[in-house]
Amino acid sequence: MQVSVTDKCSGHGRCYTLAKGVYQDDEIGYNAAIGQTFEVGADRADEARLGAINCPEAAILISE
Amino acid sequence: MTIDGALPEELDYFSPEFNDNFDEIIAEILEERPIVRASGMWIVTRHEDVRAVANDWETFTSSRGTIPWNESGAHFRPTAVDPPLHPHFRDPFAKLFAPRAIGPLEPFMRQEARALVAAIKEKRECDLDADLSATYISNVFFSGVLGLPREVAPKMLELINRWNLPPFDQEALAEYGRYVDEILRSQLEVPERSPMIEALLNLEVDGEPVAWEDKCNTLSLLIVGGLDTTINAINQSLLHLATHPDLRAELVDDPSLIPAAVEEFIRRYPGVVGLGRSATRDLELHGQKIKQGDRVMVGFGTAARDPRMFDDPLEIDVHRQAQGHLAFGSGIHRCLGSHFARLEVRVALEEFLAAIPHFTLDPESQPRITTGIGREVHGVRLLIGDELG
Ligand code: HEM
Ligand code: SF4
Repeated sequence: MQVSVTDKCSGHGRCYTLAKGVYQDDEIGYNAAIGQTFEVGADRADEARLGAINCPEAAILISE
Repeated sequence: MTIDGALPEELDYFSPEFNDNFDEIIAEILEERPIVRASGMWIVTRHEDVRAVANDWETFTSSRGTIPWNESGAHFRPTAVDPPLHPHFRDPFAKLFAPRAIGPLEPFMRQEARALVAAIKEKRECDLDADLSATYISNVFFSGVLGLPREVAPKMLELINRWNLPPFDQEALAEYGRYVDEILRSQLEVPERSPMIEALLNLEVDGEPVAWEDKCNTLSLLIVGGLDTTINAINQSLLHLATHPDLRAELVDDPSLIPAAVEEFIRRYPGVVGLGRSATRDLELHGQKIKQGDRVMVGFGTAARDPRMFDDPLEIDVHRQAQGHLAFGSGIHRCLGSHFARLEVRVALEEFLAAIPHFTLDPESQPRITTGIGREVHGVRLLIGDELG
C-alpha cells in the first residue's frame, strides 16, 4: 500500500504513538514524513491503517 | 431549555439548566444543529465543521481572543494571534513540549504521583483536588516544568478559577495578569531559569525582542493552559473510575489499556467545550447567516462527542478502533501541551490504580460540575477500600 502524509498534520501524535513501526515523530512532535508518500509492506498494513484512522486531522491518506 | 421539549432558538450557555443537562443538550444539538446560537455567540458543533473552521483562520480569526463569549482574552499569546505573528510566539515552545522532550520527565512525574498516592492510601480517603490533582499538577507542571515557585501555584489557580468559571469575574482576570507580571519579574533575579522561562524571555519577532507585556501574556496562557485543564482531567478520570468498577477492574488487570483510557477520558469529559473566534466577513454556514465580527465558539469538546465519528459517544470504550478526537483542538493552534497533558494524566492514573485498586465515591461528597470554557469537576472525595467496589 501507499501512504501519504499531508500538510494537514498538526502534530496530534496519534499516528506515531499507535503505529510506531510506520510513523515517526519529528523534533516538534509532528509526523516526520509530512509531504511524503511511501510504500508500506503487507506486514505493516494494519499498523499503517490504524495510524491513519486515528489521525484527528485526517492527514494520512492510504491507497491500497 | 428543557431536554424533553424542542431546543430553543438561542441557548443560555450560562444557565443552570444548561450546566445540569449538558450531556443531553449537547447530544441533541449534535443530532439536530450543526450550528447553534448560544448567549450571543454561535457554536459550531460537529467534528467536520469544527476542523474546517479551526483551519480557516483567515475567516475565523483568533486575534480578538479565544475566550468564546467576549474579547477579554485578546491579549493572550500564542492563542490570540494569527499568522504571520503566531509562529513567533509558538515555535520556541514547540520543541520543549514535543514528545521526545517531555518523555524524559516521566520518572520525575511518577515519583511525585507515587508519593501523593502513598499518602492517600495511608489516609484511606482523599479529597482529589487537595490530595492529588492540584498538588501533583502544581508540582510537575508549575514548579517542575515552568520552574516557578511551588507556593505561588494555589493563588494562580484561585485567580484562574475566578475568571474562567462562573461568574467569570473580570477583575480577577486583570489581577491574574498583574500577578503573572510580578512572578515573571521575580524570575529575572533567579540565577537558573527553566528552559520554558528562558524561551519566554527570549521571544523575538523578526529579530526584535517582544514587548514585556507580551511575554507576560504568553506566560499567562501557558499557566492557564497547563494547570486547570489537567487537574480537571485527573478529577474526571478518577470520578469516572470510582463509579465504574468494571472499567476500573479492567484497567487494574491490564494497565496497558490505561493510555487508551486517558484518550477516552479527555475525549468524553471536555476540558475545553470550545474556544472563540471572530468572523472576519459575512458568511453563511449550514443556512445560518454569520456576520462580520460575530463571535463563534469552535466546539472542540462537542466535536469529540460527535456520533458521526464515535459510536455511543458518551461511553468510555478503551477498545475503540478510532479515537481521533479534537479535544486538543485542530490546525495551527492545536494544544501545545497535549503530549505533556497525556503523560501527566497517564502517570497519575497508573500510579493510583497500581496502589489503590479499590475505591468509591464518598457518599457524603457532592462533586460540583461547572461549565465555563471547560466542564470542570471539583469537590470529589473518595473512600479507599480493601475490597469494596
Ligand atoms: C487535557 C488537557 C488539555 C486540553 C483539553 C487542552 C485543550 C486545548 C485546546 C482545545 C487548544 C486549542 C486552542 C484554540 O484553537 O484556540 C489548546 C491550546 C493550547 N494549549 Fe492546551 N489543553 C490541555 C492541556 C494543556 C497543557 C498541559 C498545556 C501546557 C502548557 C497547554 C497549553 C496550551 C497552549 C499554550 C495552547 C495555545 C497554542 C496556540 O495558540 O498555538 N494545554 N489547548
Ligand atoms: S496523527 Fe495526524 S496530525 Fe497527528 S502527528 Fe500523526 S499525521 Fe500528524
